[in-house]
Amino acid sequence: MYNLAQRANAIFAFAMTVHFGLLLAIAISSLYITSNPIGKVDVKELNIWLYNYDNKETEFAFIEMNIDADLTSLFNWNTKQLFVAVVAEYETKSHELNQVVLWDSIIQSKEDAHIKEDKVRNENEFVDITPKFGEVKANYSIYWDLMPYVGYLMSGKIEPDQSFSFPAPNNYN
Amino acid sequence: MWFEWKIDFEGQKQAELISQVGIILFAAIGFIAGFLLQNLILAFQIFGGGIFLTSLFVLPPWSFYNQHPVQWLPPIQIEKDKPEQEEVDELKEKST
Repeated sequence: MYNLAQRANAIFAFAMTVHFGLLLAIAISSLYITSNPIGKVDVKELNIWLYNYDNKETEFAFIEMNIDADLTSLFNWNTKQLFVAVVAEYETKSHELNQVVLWDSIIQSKEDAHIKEDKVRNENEFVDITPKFGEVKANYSIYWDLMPYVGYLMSGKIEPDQSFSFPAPNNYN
Repeated sequence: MWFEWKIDFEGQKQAELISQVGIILFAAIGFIAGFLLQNLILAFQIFGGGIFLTSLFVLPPWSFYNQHPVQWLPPIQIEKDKPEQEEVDELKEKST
């Protein structure tokens, strides 16, 4: 530390170590920040149509829903962005848990975290792994994934309080 | 040299202490301020500003770092002894 170069090097190296300590403090403190995300999905219409898919007559579901959610409490100083998805979950005789993602969105600021989407259609095909759904009841949950600036990935699920039965298939296409 | 910005040993101890305390202090202040105001950029701005301020304090050779200059001993005269000179000549012959 007797000349400028030595002191500058020492300060820089120490500052970098303390910088990493600061990032670690931010990462660990983010585990203890509480949040309260709320939301619900209203299913307005659910139609089932039959198409030929892979040489089998397969039931395709078409849904129209209203999504209403408030995810602003998830946005703290360490939140970079949120990934939100509406997932339909149901049980069939052959498979215990089936999940289909119907709609998703990336939210990058607290102001955008009020989700109010009306008459949203499913973005992906709503099919079962078997050709027929059968008479199933589906829950529509909102899954969220939090990506921090530094630290651990968090995720959670907003459960609904009611489930919807699938109607019989409509017509032949 | 004038650009080396030398400081004496006591000054080096002081400089090390000031730099370590200063940097850690500004990191702590930055973290607390950022956490309370929920602003990540603010935390790093305070930390970066703190590093800059600490550098202003520690890098230049302020006079309080040169209060204890090294006390060199007075020079002593070396007498040329013949036996010592012969040993030196022998060593030189062996190495070449």
